[in-house]
Amino acid sequence: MIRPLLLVMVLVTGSSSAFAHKMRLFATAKGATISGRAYFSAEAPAMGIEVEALTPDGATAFTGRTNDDGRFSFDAAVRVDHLLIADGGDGHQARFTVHADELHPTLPRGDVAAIAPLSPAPSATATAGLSDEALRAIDAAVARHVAPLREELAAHDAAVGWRDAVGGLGYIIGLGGLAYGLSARYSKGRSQA
Amino acid sequence: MAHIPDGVLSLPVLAFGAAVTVAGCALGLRRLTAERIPQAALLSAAFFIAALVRFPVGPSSVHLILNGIVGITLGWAAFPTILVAALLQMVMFGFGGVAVLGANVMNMAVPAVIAGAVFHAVSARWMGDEPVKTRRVAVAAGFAGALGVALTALGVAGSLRLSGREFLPAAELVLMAHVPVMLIEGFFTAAAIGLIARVKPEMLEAPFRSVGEAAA
Repeated sequence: MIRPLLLVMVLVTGSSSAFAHKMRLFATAKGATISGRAYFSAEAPAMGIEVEALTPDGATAFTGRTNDDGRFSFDAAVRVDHLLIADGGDGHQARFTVHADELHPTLPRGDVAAIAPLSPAPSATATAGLSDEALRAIDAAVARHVAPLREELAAHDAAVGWRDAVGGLGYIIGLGGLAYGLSARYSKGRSQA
Repeated sequence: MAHIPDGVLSLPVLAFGAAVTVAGCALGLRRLTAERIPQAALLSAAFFIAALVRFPVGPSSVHLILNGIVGITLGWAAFPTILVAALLQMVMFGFGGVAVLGANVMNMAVPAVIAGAVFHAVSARWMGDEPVKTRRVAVAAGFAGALGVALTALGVAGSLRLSGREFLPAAELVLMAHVPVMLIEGFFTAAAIGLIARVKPEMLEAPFRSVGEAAA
């Protein structure tokens, strides 16, 4: 029994170092463009997966497929929350919501009730000397730098590691011991009765 | 994709899966004698870890299931064994989901019980004497292992179909993606059970008898 189990352990260590199996989805907005990535782990993109974007009123803003790197993008028409759903058709599914205030403020607003509260308008003094173009350039630059960080953070949060495996094994061993001890007590009690 | 996440299956399918799992566990716990508990814990641990052995297959990703070997050695007790492991896979790895736990366990445990039953039925009739017996045990176990995976894939496709998806495309996708797993698990189950047959054959005695019989 032990030898085959060791074989499984070897296979586990040999397989992808970022243990993951659940399909995940991450997306950010830059200006009016929403772009995202579907993946199983950092090294395993979900290729050719159907992606759909839904607005809060149920309309479909976008349908398409991920490319070979698991990425997709489209232009949002309205400044509302976009619910992105990636579906592999075989039971794998992942969801992610891109919030309205991530999209560029100059986009037309959707139905008033549907949008998230607008962030307070930038104070006049802070942007006094800057033109619209400059503001847009700053916005794009910040998004360009922050998006990869957020993507990495999401992937890191999602990654499964040795600690999770060891923790689960501990529970199984504990439950087994508890069950065994309780069953012994029960049968002893029965024979004494 | 043996672990379906939350939000994919429809309510009736979730309810049915939960009911089947509860019933299976009730049956399984009664058949789980005290001596088999350490064995069950070991197999639960193997099943739990096996989900980390992942293979990318085309656009999808699959993992080892090991429900064949669980069914062969534990019979109906495969239900509580797989439930514990699947629950921990959900909590620790994020595989599957709370509402869909019953359906996922059903899709893995029912094939386990079937694979075990098939194996024991075949063993009772076909084995013959040594030295051919151990070889045949291994072959039968290999087929049972592959069968466990195939039935799980069908179960997943069926669950998706009953939740409104088109059956054939989903079935094709899931089954084809799991063919490598069927092959690997076939070999693995054959090796493991073959080894047990040689070293500790009493572990392979049909685990389908009731507790009363086993204690006698």
